[in-house]
Amino acid sequence: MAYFLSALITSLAGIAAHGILIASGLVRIDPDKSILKLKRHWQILLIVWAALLPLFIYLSGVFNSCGMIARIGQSAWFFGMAGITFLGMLFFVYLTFYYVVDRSITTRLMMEIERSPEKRLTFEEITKVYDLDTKYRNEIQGIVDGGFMRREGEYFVNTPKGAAVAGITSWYKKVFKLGPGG
Amino acid sequence: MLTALIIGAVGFADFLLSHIIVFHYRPPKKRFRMLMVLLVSTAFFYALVFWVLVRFGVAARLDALVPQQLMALLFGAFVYFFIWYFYAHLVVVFDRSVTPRMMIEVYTAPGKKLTFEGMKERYSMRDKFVRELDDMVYMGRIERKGDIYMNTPKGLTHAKVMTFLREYLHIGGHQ
Repeated sequence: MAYFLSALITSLAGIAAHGILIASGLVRIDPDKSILKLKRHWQILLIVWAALLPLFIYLSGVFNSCGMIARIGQSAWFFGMAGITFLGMLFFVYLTFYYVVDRSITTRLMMEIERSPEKRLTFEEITKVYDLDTKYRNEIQGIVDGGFMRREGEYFVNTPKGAAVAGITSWYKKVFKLGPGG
Repeated sequence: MLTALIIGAVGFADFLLSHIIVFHYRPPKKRFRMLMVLLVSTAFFYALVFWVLVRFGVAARLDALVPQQLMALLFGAFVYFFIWYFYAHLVVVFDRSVTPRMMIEVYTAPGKKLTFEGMKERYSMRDKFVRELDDMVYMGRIERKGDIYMNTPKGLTHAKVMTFLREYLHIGGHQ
């Protein structure tokens, strides 16, 4: 329980540190270059997480010396929750892989190139086999099916759920200087 | 704790096997819902298995094989780095995901509504494709010669593995 709690608290500190570093401008990342920008964010996060390891160790010591936390940490109930949490974490890691297989645009692009007779395509040929408008309509339909948008005549409008996602994403992109993205 | 973590790992393996079998032989229409059904039912079943092991003292005997503090430390460290992984992916979703960007465009549009054509004007899928191709060139999965795009060996392997998985699991066709 002690190590679990200190992992949670140290991670929160890591997220806060990431936010402060980016929002304050102490670390500047060009928001225009997509994959390089994300690579930089991942590197910064790894550095922050590694740098906060002493905090993780310190907090673990503090929580381990707390009798109540130590007792909870020895209980079958906590062990059971740890097992379910572990299963959930493994599921999430798998889900990131699943979504690359199921939904990734880049995966589809590489597959279309591979499927083509000469295994090479121009951009215009790519858009013939992987139609932009169809892609767009499928994405919108997915958003509507998920309850994030609804259709009113020829217009699309966010539902409260969609507005919440839009608001949070918009705020995050602004604070973390990600640019419009998408 | 060792018993609980082993049960968690076995549960995940069971979930994966069920997922592969169901998706291959009875592909569901609502795929994410089916994944959640499989996950929740697996979690319930293995929670039951764990409690049986606790009740009959098997868990205690297994847990004694490894020092409790060591297991707790390893689990805590796993949680710590898992949260890094989770949050790093959240950054990717916030930045690159198509659907939140579309919702933002509607959110910021005059009257907070857009037609299909209006959305296309504000968020170009063409530009998205160009950026994705540029990223794959940078990542060494695609090479560009003039206006021609070709897979590199790395991209080819990726394409073949993904093609197999999509066909076997009957996923990916809705793009």
